[in-house]
Amino acid sequence: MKTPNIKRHRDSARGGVIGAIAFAVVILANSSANAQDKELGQYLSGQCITCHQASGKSNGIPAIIGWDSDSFVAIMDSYKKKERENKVMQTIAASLSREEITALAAYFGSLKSKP
Amino acid sequence: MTNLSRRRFVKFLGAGTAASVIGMPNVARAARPRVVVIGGGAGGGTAAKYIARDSKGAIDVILIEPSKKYYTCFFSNLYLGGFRDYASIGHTYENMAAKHNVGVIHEWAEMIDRDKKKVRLSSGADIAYDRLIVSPGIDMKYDSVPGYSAEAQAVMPHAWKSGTQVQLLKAQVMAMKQGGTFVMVPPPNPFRCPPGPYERISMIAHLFKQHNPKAKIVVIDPKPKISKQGLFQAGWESYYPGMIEWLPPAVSGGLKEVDVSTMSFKTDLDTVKADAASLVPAQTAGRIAHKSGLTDASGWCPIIPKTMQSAIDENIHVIGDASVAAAMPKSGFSANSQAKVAAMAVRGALTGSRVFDPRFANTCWSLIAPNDGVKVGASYKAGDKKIEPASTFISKTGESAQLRKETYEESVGWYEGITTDIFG
Repeated sequence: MKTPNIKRHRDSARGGVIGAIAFAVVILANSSANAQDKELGQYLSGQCITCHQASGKSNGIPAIIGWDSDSFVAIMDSYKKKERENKVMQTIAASLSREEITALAAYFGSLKSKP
Repeated sequence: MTNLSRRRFVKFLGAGTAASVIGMPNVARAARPRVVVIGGGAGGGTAAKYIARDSKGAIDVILIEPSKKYYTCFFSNLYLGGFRDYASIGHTYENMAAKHNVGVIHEWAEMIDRDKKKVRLSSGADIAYDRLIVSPGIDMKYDSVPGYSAEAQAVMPHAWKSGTQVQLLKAQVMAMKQGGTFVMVPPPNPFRCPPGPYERISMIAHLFKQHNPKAKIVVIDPKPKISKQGLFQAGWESYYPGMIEWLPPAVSGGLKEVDVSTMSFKTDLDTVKADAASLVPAQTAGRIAHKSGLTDASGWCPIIPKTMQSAIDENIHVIGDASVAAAMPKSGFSANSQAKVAAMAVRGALTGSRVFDPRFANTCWSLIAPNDGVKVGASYKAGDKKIEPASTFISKTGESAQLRKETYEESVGWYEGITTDIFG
C-alpha cells in the first residue's frame, strides 16, 4: 500500500474571541456526536465488512481494524480527494461525511483481530 | 431452549420434518416478535443473520431455505474456468443456527397468506410472522426462447441458479469435440449479474485455449449493448483472438428459435449448429413472489427504497434479485447490501432500535483471463421511488497488468469477506 503524503488534520488556531467561541462550540458538538459515533459506525461498517473483514483477516484487501482514528480519517480523506487510486474506495469515501468517517474510525478502531 | 418450546415447534412442523430443522428459537413464540425470511442466499441469509445478531435475541428469526449447502452463483464462473474448486463455493448454515440463533428450516416455502401473516411450508406446516423478508432470487422463463424448455436445461444448461448445473456445463465444455462450436445465448434485460455471461464466455475461452484451441464460441445476444463491453471485447481480442464472435441483434436479427434435439440455433442471419451450448432464458422473480401477489406487471417486486418494504404489503420486505431495485443491478453484492437496509428497518419497526439513512453499494468484478480482473460499481442513495446512483466507477481499457492483477485479488478478498458476512 502506498504511503500517502498525509497532512495531519489539526484544528488550526484561531485568533479573536469569536473564533475561540466558535472553536469551543465545534468541540462541544463533536463531543456529543462522539457518544453516538460507535453505533453509527457499526451501522455504516455493514458496507465495509464484506471486503474488509471484521475479524481482521486480509486476502487481497487490507485489514482495517485496530487503527488509530487519525490515520483512518486521513486515509479516507485521501480517497475523497482521489489522491489514492482505488476506485471502489474513492466511491465509498465520496459517499461518507466527515462525521460518518469519524464514526467508522471509532468503530473499526475498537475491533480486535480474531484468529 | 426449553423443552416446551421444542415440543411445540416440532409439533407444528409435523413429525416427519423434525430432521430438516437445525437451530431452534430460544423462547416460546409469544415472548418475542418474529421475522421469517424466505430464501437463504446473499439476500435472505444476510438479513436473517443481521436481524438475529443485531437484535441481540430480541427478535425470533426463522430462515426457510431448501438447500442444506448453498453454492454461490457468484464465483461459479471462476470454478468453471478452473480457478477454484467446486467445494470452495459451497457454504452451510451451521453458524447461522449455532452462533446467531437463527431457526433454519430446510424446506420450501410454498405460499404466503398475507392476510393471516403466515408462511405455508412444503410439509404443510404454517409459520406465523410479524414481518416477512422475501428473497427468493430468480426463476427462468423457459418459453422466452421458442424451442427451449425446463427439460432442455440438461442439454444446454443455463447454470444461472446456484447449484450443480455449473458442474454439468463444465463437463460439457471439456467434453466438446476438438475444433467444435460452443454457442452462448445470454439473457435479455433485466437479469441477474449483467457482466456474468461475458465472464462465463471468458472462462470457457480460457479452457478452450488450453484444451481445445481451435474451438469457436458464438454469442447470440438479444442485447445491443453489454456490461463492461469495451473491457470484455478488448480482453477477448488480446487473450483469445479469433475465438469469440459476439452477435448483437443488429447483426443476427435475433434468435428466432432453438432446436434442442439437433443443437441448432436459428437466427435471421443463419442457423448455427452447436457442439455444446449454454442458453440463459429471460428471468422473473422467484415463483413464491408471483404466487403471493408481490410482483407487478414487469414480473418483479416493486419496493420502497428507504426500507426495501414491498410497495404492495408493508409487512413484507423484498430484497435481492426478485426486487425492482434499479438503478442497482441484480447481484449478490446488491442483495447483501439491500438486506442490511431491510434488517435495520425491520429491527427499528419491531424493537424501536435506531434507523439511519439507508446506504447501498455494489461492485461487480469479472475475470477475463488469469490475473486480469475488471470491475464496475457504484454507491447509491434511496430516492422516494427509486434507488439512485450517487457515484460510479468502472475499470478502463489499457490499465496496467499490475492493476488488473490487484483487481482480481481484490475480488478474491471480497468473496471471502462476503461469504463470511453471510455464513460466518
